[in-house]
Amino acid sequence: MQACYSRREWMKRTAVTAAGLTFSDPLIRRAISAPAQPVAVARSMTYGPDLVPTLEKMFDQLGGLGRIVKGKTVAVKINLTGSPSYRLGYLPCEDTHYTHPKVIAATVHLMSKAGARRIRLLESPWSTADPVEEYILQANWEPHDILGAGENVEFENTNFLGNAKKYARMKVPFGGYMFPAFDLNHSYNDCDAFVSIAKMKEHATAGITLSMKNCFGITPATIYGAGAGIDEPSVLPKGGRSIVHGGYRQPSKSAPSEKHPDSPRVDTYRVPRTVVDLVAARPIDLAIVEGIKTMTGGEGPWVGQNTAVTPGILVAGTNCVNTDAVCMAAMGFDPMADRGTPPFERCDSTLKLAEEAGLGTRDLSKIEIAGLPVKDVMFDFAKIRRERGTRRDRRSG
Amino acid sequence: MLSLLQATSIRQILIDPGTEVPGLADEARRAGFAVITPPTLPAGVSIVKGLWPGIRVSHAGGDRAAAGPTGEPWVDSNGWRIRAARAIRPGGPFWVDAKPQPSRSSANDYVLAFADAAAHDGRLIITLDDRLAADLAGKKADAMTVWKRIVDAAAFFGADRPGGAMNDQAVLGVLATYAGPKMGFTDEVLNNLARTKQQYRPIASSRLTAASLADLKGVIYTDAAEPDSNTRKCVMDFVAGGGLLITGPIWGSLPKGGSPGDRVHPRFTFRTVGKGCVAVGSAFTEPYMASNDAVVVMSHRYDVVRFFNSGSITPCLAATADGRRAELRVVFYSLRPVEDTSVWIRGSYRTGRLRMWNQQEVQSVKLVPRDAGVEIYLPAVSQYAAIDLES
Repeated sequence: MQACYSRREWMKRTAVTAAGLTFSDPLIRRAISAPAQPVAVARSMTYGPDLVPTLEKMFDQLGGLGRIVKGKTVAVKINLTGSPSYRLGYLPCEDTHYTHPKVIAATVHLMSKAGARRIRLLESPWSTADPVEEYILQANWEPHDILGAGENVEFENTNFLGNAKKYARMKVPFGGYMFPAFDLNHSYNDCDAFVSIAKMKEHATAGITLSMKNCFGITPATIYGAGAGIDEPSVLPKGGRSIVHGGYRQPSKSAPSEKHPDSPRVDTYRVPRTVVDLVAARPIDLAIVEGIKTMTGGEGPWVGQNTAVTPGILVAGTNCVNTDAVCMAAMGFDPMADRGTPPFERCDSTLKLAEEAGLGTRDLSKIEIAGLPVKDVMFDFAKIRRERGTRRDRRSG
Repeated sequence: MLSLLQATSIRQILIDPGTEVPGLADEARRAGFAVITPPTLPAGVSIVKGLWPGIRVSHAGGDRAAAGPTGEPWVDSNGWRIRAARAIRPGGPFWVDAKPQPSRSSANDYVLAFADAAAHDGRLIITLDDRLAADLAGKKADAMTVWKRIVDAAAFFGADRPGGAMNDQAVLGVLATYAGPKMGFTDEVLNNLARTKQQYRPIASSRLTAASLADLKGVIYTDAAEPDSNTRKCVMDFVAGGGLLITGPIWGSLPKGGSPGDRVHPRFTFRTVGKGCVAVGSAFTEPYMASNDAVVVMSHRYDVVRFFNSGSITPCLAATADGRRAELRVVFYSLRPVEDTSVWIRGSYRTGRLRMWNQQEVQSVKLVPRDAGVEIYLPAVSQYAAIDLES
């Protein structure tokens, strides 16, 4: 499925590509001027005592945590995708598809040490308004291990209205590919800094899920989920974000509708664009991607053909597009890949869309790498993906 | 039919009034079977009227499972019925009377019915569905195969009893009169609570003592009327000692001197009383919400068992009074083998032995210490598994 450009836009692009001289297309202008910030890369094969000093060094390489968090309320989006009782084989969720609690706790500790005034850990757990603490207890985590890692630390479930009286409307500055704005839990607005701590994974719909795709889950299912109210948000979240994936209906009418209701109702088109809209509406000040232990083949054990792996990679940056581009390279993928090229065989590239929206460059030649060279930490998800595809073809052939 | 029962472990035949076959009872007695004609039952036996257990299949959709309130498959189980009956008449035995559903009458469905009763220390009254009965009478090969499975299950579950006196390891008690016309809400709270996999114990207020609540973390009061004075005193003493009461406004007044709790919940207000707390639900009339809210208000921090990759199950954990031995019985409602299931059990156990109904050998399982308990990684399991643990 091609990007939904008008004929006029397509002609402009073709002219630019051919002439290399005309920069009238706003998308091209934004892509060319997309910012580049340093990205720190490190190796850690375990979640042991070296984790804190490793992360601390990475943050120092980015200019220090203090300038991001000192005196501030910091909102941190973690990744707890899928039910806490759904494992890949016998492995605990944190070893395969959840952000590891030790990485969360280490980051909380360092942010607190750097002077963060308040740290609010956010997630919209599957189909529930229950406290995040209760969700992670079911995964055999101990919430106090994280809450006690810093000063004034709390969890909030952002899958519904939560502790506020109304949702926060957050606009997409560049206008948005899919949505002009989103109604989100207040926590995403009531903060001075926003951090995304993602698990390094492939993704069945979007190709990869890193610091940007982690933010797909900031949308409340009360508005954007399968059980969302028609006119007003439902009180409780129910189901996943199938409205965004499939577009079979609009979000609750109280929230901004899609810009182009006639655009493709296909998830591989919609999800990457919505992700970009979200990270534009709620910019990420610090992106952390942990791939110490993770899985291949998709974002969770329900995808199938998954394998637990130990890449031992940590990546952090202050620009989410730059960070995700470096992550892709560390996974053996080409961050410049477009639709049709792994990992975007079936979908549009979130990174390309983000770059064209001016959020950041995905061009590694423009990104300064601090710490280890990418080649020194590279774990070849791409090769495993190829082999998996070959096995699948053999079985179906 | 009697010839089919010979050389099986089935030694009792129950003949409902009005269904007698002339001469059958006498012939059965001559063949050595005990003949029981309700309402006359052997000493101590109670019959629990139940549903045919299993994942309920949608009437509209062929093999599609019907969904519960969350969209998850709805499971019919008689476990909560057995437990409720035991709350009024401790001891038992409890025989479950459940008629097979035509859409769920495979050999595996019968095994599931046995397992569902046995996991709660009940026993299934074997009732054949009409087609099976007719096919057995006609000695059809397929029917004989199903019958063999039923006989094997009867033997296994008849012999599968806890080794030594064990008490259920409940986190939550469900306190009610368990009598009278307004049991519907209580019944449905139990039914929904069972689906949460949280360990619970029905407690009849007529038998309530301080000891009834001693090993619990919380109690849910589900009656439609204010508690009597004994109930009020026992529960408030339990709360003052550190327990949690979860109730609706029907509870009435609370002891003076408590203070508003600092917990926040959209449907509950909290009040500390002594070392414990009372949670009063503003909308404590919908049983699904009440039971699921109760589990969260209680907190998963006090879970005694957690399952991973199990699908729809009913776990029943019991232990000796000294805590040195425990038994976990689990009914798996999937009719296909369930793989990659892990279970975490609270306690410092050192050895575990796994019994599965379709395997002759009892096998040792490895226990991996994790937090305040042990994790066990199960092989593929069909319908039922029991794990014996020792410290």
